[in-house]
Amino acid sequence: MPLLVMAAGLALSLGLWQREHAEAQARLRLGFDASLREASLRVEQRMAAHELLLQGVQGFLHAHGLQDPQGLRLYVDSLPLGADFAGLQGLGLAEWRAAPGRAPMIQLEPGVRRNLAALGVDLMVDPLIRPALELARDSGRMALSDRFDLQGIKLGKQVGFLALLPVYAPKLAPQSVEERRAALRAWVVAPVAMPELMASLYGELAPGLRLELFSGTEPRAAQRLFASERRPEGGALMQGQEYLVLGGQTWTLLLQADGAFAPAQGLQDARQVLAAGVLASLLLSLLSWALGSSRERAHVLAQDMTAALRRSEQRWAFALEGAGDGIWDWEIPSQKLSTSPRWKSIMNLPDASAEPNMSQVLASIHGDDRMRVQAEFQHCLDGLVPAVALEYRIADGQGGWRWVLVRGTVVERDAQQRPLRMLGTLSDIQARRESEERVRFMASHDPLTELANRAHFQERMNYSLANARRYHETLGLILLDLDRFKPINDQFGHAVGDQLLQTVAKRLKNAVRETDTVGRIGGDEFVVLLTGPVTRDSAQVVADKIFNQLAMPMEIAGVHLELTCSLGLAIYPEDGQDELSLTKAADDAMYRNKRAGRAWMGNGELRGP
Amino acid sequence: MLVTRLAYSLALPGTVAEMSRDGIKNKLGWAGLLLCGAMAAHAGDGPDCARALTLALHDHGLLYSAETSTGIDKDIADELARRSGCRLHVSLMARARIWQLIESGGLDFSLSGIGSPERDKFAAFAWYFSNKYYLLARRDAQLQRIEDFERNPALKLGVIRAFRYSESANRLVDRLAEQQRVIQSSGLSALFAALGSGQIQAMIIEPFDYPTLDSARIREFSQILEFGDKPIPHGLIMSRASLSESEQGKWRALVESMLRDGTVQRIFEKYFKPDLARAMVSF
Repeated sequence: MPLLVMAAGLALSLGLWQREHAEAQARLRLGFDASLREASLRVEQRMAAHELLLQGVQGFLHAHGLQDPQGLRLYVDSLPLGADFAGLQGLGLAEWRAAPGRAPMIQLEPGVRRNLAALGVDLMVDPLIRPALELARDSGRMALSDRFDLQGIKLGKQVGFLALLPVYAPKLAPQSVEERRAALRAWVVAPVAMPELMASLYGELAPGLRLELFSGTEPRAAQRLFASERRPEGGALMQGQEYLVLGGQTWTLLLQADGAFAPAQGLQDARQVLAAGVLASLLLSLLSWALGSSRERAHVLAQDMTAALRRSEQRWAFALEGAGDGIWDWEIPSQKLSTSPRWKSIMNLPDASAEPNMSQVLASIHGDDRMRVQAEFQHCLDGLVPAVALEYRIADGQGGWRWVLVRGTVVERDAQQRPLRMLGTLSDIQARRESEERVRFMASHDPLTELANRAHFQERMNYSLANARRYHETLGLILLDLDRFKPINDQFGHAVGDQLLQTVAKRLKNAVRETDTVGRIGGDEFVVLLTGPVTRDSAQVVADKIFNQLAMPMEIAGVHLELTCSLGLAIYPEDGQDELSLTKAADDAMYRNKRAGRAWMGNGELRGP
Repeated sequence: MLVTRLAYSLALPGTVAEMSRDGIKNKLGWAGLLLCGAMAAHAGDGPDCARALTLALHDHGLLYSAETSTGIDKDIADELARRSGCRLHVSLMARARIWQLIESGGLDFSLSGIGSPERDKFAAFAWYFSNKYYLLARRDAQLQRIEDFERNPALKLGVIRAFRYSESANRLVDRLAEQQRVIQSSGLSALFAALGSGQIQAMIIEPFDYPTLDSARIREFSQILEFGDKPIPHGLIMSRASLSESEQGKWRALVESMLRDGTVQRIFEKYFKPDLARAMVSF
């Protein structure tokens, strides 16, 4: 673009320059032609003025005849010959003496000494003067001699010429050449010195011009009548010539113009236009480059910013998506929800699905959590809390529930602090929740058998005891010890021992109600807490059931085992009022049972094998 | 200055109709006045001669030769003076000066002028002949056609200042002037001399220049090329600034009467062969 602007600017400048140059040349030529014409006109007019002077003398001679030198002197003295006739050396008379064919000067006024020296000079003798004498005689008009040194007629050394006008016999008006020749009496003679004649013309020349005047049509130095002193500076830029036909002579006026002529004509150098145009083109192209490149730079900057923003968005999206979080953007006035693919994934929605509305989202929340979630969000929208962070369950699409964590904050409010936009994330915390659940379970249960451990069992028993005391209910506590477990463990290894314990745990659970608690409090010691309405009999039934279940043979790792156990039962409040006493009662009963051949149960009574 | 006085015609044999009113008064007295009454109707239609009128000639071959003080224009001027009965001051001057004075009103008449849109603004014409223009060129310029002259920038054309020509000749002059290839002259003789010395390579000529062409020397180094334009009418030039429309009409009628009665043709036959003279005055 800048190059285009520069090319267009330069082309325009060149065009303008060429036009301006052509116009300037045309104006210059017109000015020069006018100067040439003016110079030639001035020469012509000056010669016309001289002719008038000669005609005046001619008229005087017609009136007074040739024999009145005094009158002629007075006449010439009365003429206003001054600077306007510079160059005119005098006005005089050459008489025609037909017999010898001579034309001697007989009078030359004013009669100064120099002019007196010319008297008697025969003009017919000079070949440069004679043709002019004859031309004047034959035409009856003023004729000019060729250029000659006025010294030839003793008028000093200077280039000049003679202006001649015939004087015919008075009262004759000769109409033909023959009549004129016959009537000729004399010539009015005016010697003219060329440099003085031209001096006044030269002074009126325009600056920068040099004028030369030549005799004849060829501007040769030998024929030069006059040259102005000025020499063209740096050669002539223009040159013109004109032929002046004056009194039978042809003069060539040569005019030359140098570099000073154009400014004198008020013409400025057209190169200034070109220089200004080139400068303007450069500036324009620079400007267009700056404009073009600034736009480009702005474009690049915008692209960079966009790319940076996109990268930032990608980083955040990657971070969030990488963290497994979905993103949601809620435009509150329009209730429009925009979500990320991960959000949809967590919400069990297909990727390509349309954005859900808020009622769909609410409907997916577990009924127990929905009110809480709505309330917390409302608090945040109302500005009561800066952000929400809520864990709740949503339908997993397979009939189950999945824990999620939603975080959000209001990012835009209007002037009245009404929420306009809320941004947030959604995290799938199901695994974490499950893990936490497992940890909690493991903390309270025996890892091998998944039965309540001693602490958990103790907690449950304390809780149940407190409950029973409050509501005057009964409890049953069964202690159980596996017989001969140690030998089995030693004989078949810990793996078999462990499996044996797990099998026992399963059989124990199967033997009791769901509301009852089974715990493992030692290597092969188990405990069962029976809650709810419990009588000694119902508790005995459970103990029997346990005993029978455990007595059933079992196949572990290819080993056939048959096991018995020792049981001890204690009933609250009959056998003990607190954990300690109750446990002791059960423990006592169990050892009594052991000692009694392992079939003894209850509160010490033998129920038979 | 040449002064042609109608009065001098009284000294020559002639008819009463050729006499001026002044002459009649001065020379014939009452008898003349009676005759004057007889021609009053004719005189009333003629130009106003209350003041002396001025007419300028220019030195141009057969039109007027300053050397001999003879020529077609001088004869026409004499005839105009004779027929009109007016006193005409006849002078000789450069053509450019003539046009300036015609425009300013300082000169009443000139002769053998041609019109142009510019000139028509300040001059009126009464045509009495027409002629063609030719290019007289040096042989060493090696021209086949007139167009060749313009193509060679080394060639220069000499013209009389203020002269206009036929259409294509004017075009050539104007184009060459733009190229500074025109040398002006105030007289024809200088152009012939310049052509001979090689200062110019061509000049534009008219039939009036034929006698000069008869020179063997000029024939030797020159050739003539025709412009091919129609003949251009020439006529009496009248200054609009000094002559009213009605006066112009009277002078135009005078010229037309000279054409009708063959006077113009007779004058031309003095200078040209009869065929050419007839062709020139029949336009």
